[in-house]
Amino acid sequence: MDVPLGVGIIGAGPGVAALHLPTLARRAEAFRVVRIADGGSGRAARLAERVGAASSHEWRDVVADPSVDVVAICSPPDAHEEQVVTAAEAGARAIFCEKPLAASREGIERAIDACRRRGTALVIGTNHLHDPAWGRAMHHHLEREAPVRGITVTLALPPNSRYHRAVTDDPPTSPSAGRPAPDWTDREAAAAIVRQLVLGLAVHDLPLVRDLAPGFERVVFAREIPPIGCSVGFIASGIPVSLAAVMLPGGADALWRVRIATATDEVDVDFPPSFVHRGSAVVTVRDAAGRVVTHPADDDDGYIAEWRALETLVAGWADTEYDEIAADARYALDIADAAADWIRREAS
Amino acid sequence: MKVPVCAPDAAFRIAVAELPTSATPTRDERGAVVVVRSVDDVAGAVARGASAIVVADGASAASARGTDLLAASTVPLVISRPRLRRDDEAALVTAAFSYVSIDVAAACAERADAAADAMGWARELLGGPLAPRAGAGGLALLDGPRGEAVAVRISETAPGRAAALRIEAVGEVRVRIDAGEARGAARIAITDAAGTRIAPTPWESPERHALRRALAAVAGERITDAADLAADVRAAAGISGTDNEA
Repeated sequence: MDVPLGVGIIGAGPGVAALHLPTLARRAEAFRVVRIADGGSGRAARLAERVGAASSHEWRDVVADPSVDVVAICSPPDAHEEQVVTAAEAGARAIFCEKPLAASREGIERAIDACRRRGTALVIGTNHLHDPAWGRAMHHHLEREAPVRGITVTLALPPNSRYHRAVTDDPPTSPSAGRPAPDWTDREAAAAIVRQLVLGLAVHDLPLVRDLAPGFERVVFAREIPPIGCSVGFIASGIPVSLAAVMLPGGADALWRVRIATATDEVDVDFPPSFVHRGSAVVTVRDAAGRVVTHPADDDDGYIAEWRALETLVAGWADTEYDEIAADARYALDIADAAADWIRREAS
Repeated sequence: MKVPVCAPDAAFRIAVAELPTSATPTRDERGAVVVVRSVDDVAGAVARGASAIVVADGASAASARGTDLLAASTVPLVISRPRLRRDDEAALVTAAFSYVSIDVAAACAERADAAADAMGWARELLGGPLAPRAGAGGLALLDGPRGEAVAVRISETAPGRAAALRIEAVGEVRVRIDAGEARGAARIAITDAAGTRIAPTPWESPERHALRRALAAVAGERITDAADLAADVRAAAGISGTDNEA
């Protein structure tokens, strides 16, 4: 790309300070941050000053800014749908939207329709889906032609501040720090929180699960995991999927693993912690003879790769897969809703 | 004093030779530690006067019928479960876990005992038996003794392939156990804020380990293998396709 694309960022939270700004700094030949907007917190001005960008308190200023080619939506999830639609209709060349695309099925269709109608390139911040190691794991799977017999997703996350320190000297922030533990005895609240955890946390890996098990069928179990987490078992395309995630106050380094069992192999894909840039996930394969092969990590991580994907779309070297993006979003929503329903049903 | 051991199985005879100051081989079952191949041989050994029994093929007992047969024994029972070595490092970790994620990949014939061994690891890590809560289609949710989530996924592999067990206990301290090679010890990794350490390999053969425990039982040590296996079999029973959904 001859001239860096102008990026306007909606949102100025830790995801911008510790994730997207350091990531874009690694792609400076392709992207230049030109405007950052917050919701009135004042953080945008501080962040914008560091990168020589303009700032505002109003997200619509980003969409209206003629120097903005790419609108990066890093705001709270409930705002995503409206911001995607508005940016597409205003003629943004491309949109980068953090997960989830929208909070409802109607919202997903509306956002996708707006982008498709205007030919707006769209990338969702599902960094694990873009991680080069996932492509390698999929390649291994397709090459072996062994049917998938099960998938397990395992997460354990200490506070993000540990990883923020690796990429920014901003004062540490952790959204979960100090937050009171939910009242899990309130089963309606538990159902709602588990739904939110599926859409906010498990959503990182559900597009990967969908790659292998696209047809969601039913939830077999769902429950909360104290202090804040959930465990959901579901069947998709006849394949059992076990998913467990918990946010912890400290302790061991982050665990973020997708394990695929086929008729012949077990494949572990171990993703690095969020925010950091130390290469891709690591893929380890144990085959039928008991041989264990660990593939080296790529230099690029999923964050870099998702912005590269956006470059590719803007350059016209690939087309946005609107239907795939919509299907990923619906898949997550279907599982989140079914998990919440299961908890309500068990309580009744 | 050396304890007489009646061990028709070659591997156990080697184990006797590897305990030269505490065990001595004998062909007379009366008053001896008797090694039997299968759970079906337990009653006979008891009737012939065994002082303690080692069941060499723990898989033969990994069923409701098998555990019923064990429960009828009036002498101490050691059940050899090489995938579940009770003196392994992981059993010493007393951290609080938020959840345990279990994957079992096994051929159809090995499925029940592999699942029971995986349940055994979770029981050891959580310090008590598991209670089935829901399950269907190769998935199960169980509650740990303090209400911890135990999520299980079981899948079928090609016949003849060794089972693969992955048990991951997750909290501020994590314990990951990979077990399943026919004679290989489980690989145990313990991770906390200071990093990961791998538990030392137990170099002792599974047979010597089982026999040593039987000798300890004769000396008065309490052995709970039969009750533990019964608990593990009950926990595993909910996994194999029994629909029990909310």
